Amino acid sequence: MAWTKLKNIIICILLATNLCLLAFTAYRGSRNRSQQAQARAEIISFLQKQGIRVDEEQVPSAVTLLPQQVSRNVEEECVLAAALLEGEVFAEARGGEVYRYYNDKGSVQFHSNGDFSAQFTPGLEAGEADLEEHALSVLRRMSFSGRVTARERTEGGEMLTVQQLWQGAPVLSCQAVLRYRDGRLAAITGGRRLTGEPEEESGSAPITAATALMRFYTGMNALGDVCSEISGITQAYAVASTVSGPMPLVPVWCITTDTGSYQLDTLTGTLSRAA
Amino acid sequence: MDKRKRRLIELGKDLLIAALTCSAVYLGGVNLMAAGLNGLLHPPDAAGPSAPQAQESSAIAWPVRMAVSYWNGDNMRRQGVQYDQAGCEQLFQPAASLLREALGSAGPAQAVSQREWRQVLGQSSNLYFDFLGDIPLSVLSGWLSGEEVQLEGTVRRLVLAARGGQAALYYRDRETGGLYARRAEVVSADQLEAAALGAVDNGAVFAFEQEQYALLDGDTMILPQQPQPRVYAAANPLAGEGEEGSLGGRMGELLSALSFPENSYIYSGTDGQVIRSGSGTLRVYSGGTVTYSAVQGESSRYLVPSQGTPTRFEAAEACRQLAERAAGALAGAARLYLREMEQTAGGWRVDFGYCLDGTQVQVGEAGYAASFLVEGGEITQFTLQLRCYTDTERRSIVLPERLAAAALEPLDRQGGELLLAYWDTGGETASAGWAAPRTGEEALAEAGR
Repeated sequence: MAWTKLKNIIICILLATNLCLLAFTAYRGSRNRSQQAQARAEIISFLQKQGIRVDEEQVPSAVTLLPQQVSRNVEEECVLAAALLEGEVFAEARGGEVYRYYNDKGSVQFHSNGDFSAQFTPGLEAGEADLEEHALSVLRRMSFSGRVTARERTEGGEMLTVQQLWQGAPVLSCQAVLRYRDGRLAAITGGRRLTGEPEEESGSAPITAATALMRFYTGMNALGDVCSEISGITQAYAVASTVSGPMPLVPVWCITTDTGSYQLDTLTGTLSRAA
Repeated sequence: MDKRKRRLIELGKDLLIAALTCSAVYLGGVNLMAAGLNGLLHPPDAAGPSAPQAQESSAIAWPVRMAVSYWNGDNMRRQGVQYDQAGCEQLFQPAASLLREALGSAGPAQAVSQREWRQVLGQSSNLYFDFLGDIPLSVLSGWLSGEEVQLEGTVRRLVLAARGGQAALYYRDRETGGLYARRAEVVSADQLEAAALGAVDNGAVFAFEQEQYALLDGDTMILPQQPQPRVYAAANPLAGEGEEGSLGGRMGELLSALSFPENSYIYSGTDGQVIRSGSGTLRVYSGGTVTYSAVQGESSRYLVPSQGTPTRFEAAEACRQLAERAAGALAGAARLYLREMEQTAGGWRVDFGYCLDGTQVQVGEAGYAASFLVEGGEITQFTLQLRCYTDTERRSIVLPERLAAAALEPLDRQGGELLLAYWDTGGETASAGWAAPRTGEEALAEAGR
């Protein structure tokens, strides 16, 4: 019986401890959020005083994207090729870590840095589907989620540019151009994709939204540029080049102003002009 | 029934206690991390979040001089980098995959003329790489991709150029002196144009493009800014190490890196220490020179991993690993590069040099940092000239290139290249100055080849 009572006391103590820790955690989280929101508001106010108009709603409340890294998955490329070409494919190693897969419906070639291209014979029929929907569905076969960023008429057909998205965020420099002719997808050119499934890179933490805005301001001064309005901020991933090994995906802010576009590295706070 | 019910209640309490304990530990950990005590629980990795990847085998094959040129049919826009290791690496990273693919898919070599070589450099979109030393193409491709490709030819400079809608590798073979082109099957001219499109013109030119540099080797790259090389402190990394019988400190690390066990027999020689283990003898001289010798076939210490007779790449890679572990690990601010790889009667001689901020270092009279002899599938001899370099944060002043070029005329070195080099004669500092090595053709003539 004494042991039973002791357990009851232990449970009460542990309950109280958990409640206190939970309350403390909640308080700390709430305090951090309000501090960050206050700092963000102060920086926005500071920018406005410096003559830079910025709509508070356009500024992200926090840097939500975390750094990732991507390693090439060559085995998966064969599977993706078969899905794209709707059947079994034959593989050809072309040297320099370039692989081409083909069957009677066409061919697709993958490079180590994510570049890819495809040719279809006689072409993938779009049918009744809207071309944009068809383009996105074709790319989804290759685990390439994206959004159409450009559409233009060409001689005999249309050309759609699709930017790759990773968990809803654009991946800069990863896009594909799909060329349609007479309602059929004839080719994918100028393609670049993530070469595998991104994995979160531990140990790196992005800066806060307030710090990002301040780094934008100081970065502009360092570049010798001026602007009077920030018209948009988009969180995205930039693919960093490496000679070998996994490719880092760096979370960035794409900042559009009335005088130009910029890219802010949210890990280092470095601002650069967008290409 | 009561008894059973009580047992269930007690079991429930035990589980609740366990769950509440885990929860408390978790919440406590979360709060500790939030309070910035994360380092106590999770020591930071040796490689930090934004630190570059650990040096991989390909780093020894990175160029020390690069130019990215964009040609729009009328005008050339060229961005060149030299004597700036960080700048060169930044330019190389996006270009490396194209070079790797070009080497991996290179077609047969076709001879080209000097005129075509200069047209490629001056009137096409291209990527220009200068590796400082003479590196066999098969070794270069192996180090860049991990996959050896059988390619004949030894190069110092490579140009990946788009001409006539095709991408091709152009180079001067350092063994024959001839100029060649190899079509890069999987690299399209469009890819190359796209890679070169971002070039920011910084006034980089080649000597053959400017009359004022007519005295120089036409392939010498000149930048408008006068170089301001850093001054480095130089030292013997083993100075003061290794009293008789002692294997502590850097000496111990070196011996471990060279696979000499702790129970090796050590004794003092006339000018340093002698370490024996098995049939191999290591001599560590007081000036920082280390030599090794073993009778071929009697030692398995430095076998070259191979499935049969080692290939050129396998031999170079085995030497590279040993050089990096020994000389590279103690070099401080310097990195190693392949100076040359020469076929001998029984195998190869492989020499590595030190490179400081994209500038070669001449160590003593021999010049190299490490020299290996590979015979019969193993490394039978090597000599290391161990030096450690530290940036002093000072810069030195050198003559402008135009004046240095003019100085070549009375020295009978017209047509020679002008290169910055550090001379390390064992003193406490290494400063850079202009060097005018003889051109490849002259060197070949002198060698009677």
